[in-house]
Amino acid sequence: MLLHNILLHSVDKNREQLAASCLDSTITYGELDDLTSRLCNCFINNGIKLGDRVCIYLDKSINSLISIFAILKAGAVYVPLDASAPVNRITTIINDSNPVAILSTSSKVITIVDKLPKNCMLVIFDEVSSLKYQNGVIFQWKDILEYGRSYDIPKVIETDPAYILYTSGSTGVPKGVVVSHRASYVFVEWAYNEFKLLPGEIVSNHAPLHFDLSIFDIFTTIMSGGTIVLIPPEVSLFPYNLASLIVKSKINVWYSVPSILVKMVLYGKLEQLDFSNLRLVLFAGEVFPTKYLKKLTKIIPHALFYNLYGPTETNVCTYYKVDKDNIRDRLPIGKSCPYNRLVLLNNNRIINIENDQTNFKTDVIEGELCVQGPNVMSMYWGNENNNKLEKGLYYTGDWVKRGVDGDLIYLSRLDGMIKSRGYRIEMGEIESVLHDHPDIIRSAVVPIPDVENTNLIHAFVVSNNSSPRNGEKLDEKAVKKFCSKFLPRYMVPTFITFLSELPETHNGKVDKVRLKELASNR
Amino acid sequence: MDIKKLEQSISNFIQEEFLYDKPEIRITNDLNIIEQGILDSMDIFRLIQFIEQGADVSFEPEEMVQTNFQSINDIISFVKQKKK
Repeated sequence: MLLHNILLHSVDKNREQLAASCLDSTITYGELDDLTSRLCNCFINNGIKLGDRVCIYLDKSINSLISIFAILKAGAVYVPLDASAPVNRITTIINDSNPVAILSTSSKVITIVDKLPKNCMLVIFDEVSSLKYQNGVIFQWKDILEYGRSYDIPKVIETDPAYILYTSGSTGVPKGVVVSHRASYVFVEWAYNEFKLLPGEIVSNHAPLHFDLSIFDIFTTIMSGGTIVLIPPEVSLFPYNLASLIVKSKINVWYSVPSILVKMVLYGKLEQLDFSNLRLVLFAGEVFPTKYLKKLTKIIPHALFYNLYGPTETNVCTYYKVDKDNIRDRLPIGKSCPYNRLVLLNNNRIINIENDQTNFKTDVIEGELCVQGPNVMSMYWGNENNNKLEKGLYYTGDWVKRGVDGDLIYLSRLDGMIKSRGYRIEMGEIESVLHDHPDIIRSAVVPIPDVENTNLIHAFVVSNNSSPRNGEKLDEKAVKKFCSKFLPRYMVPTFITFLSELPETHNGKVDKVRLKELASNR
Repeated sequence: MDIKKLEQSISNFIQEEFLYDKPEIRITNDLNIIEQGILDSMDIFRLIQFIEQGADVSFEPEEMVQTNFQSINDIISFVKQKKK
């Protein structure tokens, strides 16, 4: 049950078959196995050991895929970085994960090269050219090809970490979700069986690789002997281009967040396109507005649609097959995946969903959804004793109810986390950045519901504009500029309102209900 | 329609709205704004809306494609063609 063994098993049967494509580049299973072994050999020869972290700082490409499997083969842990994130955030994650190597290109790495840990090895996929690096060893791709294909296979066990995915953290620092081979594998194997992926099938990869949706795209596809179509972010900017790509690439299985599917329904001219190859549409990460899901199921009537649910900490833990003739206003997140056990926690009462004898025809049951099972993450990186994992039980922070047919329905969040375009965002992380601005006295951030993007972010700021530090009055642009130094673009507030004071509730807390009203009156 | 004025206003809009955090990028009329990773999925719709209002045109979904929006030059020549 090791993730890289999926490739080793698949390559024997599918050597000449395409493993992946990205725009005009392709790679076969044979080539992927060969190149990842050489890179792995280079890693091992240069002292990379079991459990070492290796960061991937690349735009999505075939090279990213090579990096992932090579790191896993070496027994190391891959840490995919958001290539579009600001340098400050990248260096925060690098400092936190403390990698022994970074895989990148010279133009990307140049922005962080003087901030890398001591003795950090660099692998550069293009020409090194003017890049100066004195901190550790540096390899170009042509050096990697000098290494042989055979290497001493490290003794990885299934509870060893395979990757760390960084998500927004409420305290202001991104947190690394550590996922073991076993945790990931149970999901991959289940998805392979449940969705009956076939050799030669073409599967999309729309999500960025630091997003857990990519786990299905990569590992389930490789397990089945299919081909991954890696979609770079710029292609997704234009829904019509993206819809055409699905048709042109003959994609059979699509997996993404709902917001991009909504954009394709709105602007993709889908009714004019031939989606006869598309047999399965999976979505996860946020609530799909049913109005658009209804349209989509009418445009692609032959496909099956599934709503998958689960935070990065558990990957998918419930799933729901959309009943196309009866799409309800609140789309259920469905029932438990077979590998985990779900309980609802309500006022210290623990409701075991599977064994509960309550007659759910009459009793409405709701509570915080908690997940236990082999798919649950090992820990947050650097924090082995975290309170979100008690006895292997992960508290999702999602309040859900069980409907009359036993399907779970998501109701709300218990904390300050929101979703925007599928991204998970802690309001607290944005507030923490705002508070760091010398001219901001107080701030609060609220989500505004938005059909196309799930939520937009509205920040309210009380500034020190009477006596600003640098003599310049703080305006909307300056606040955004400050945020974008530390936060990825999708976390920078879309709207900023200056107030003389924040409204408060009777017990002195920021009145977020009032702020939401102000925001919606904008 | 004053094409020069439109060109300038699009350039200003991109500079103000999307490049405020990227002082290293200098906007020119042939800069590829798609490949540079300047825009995200929300930005592109704001840009399209801005052009629609500024040039008093309305784009069809099949016209909102990469080739028409790669640079200010591409945008302008597409708007001109639509105005014909």
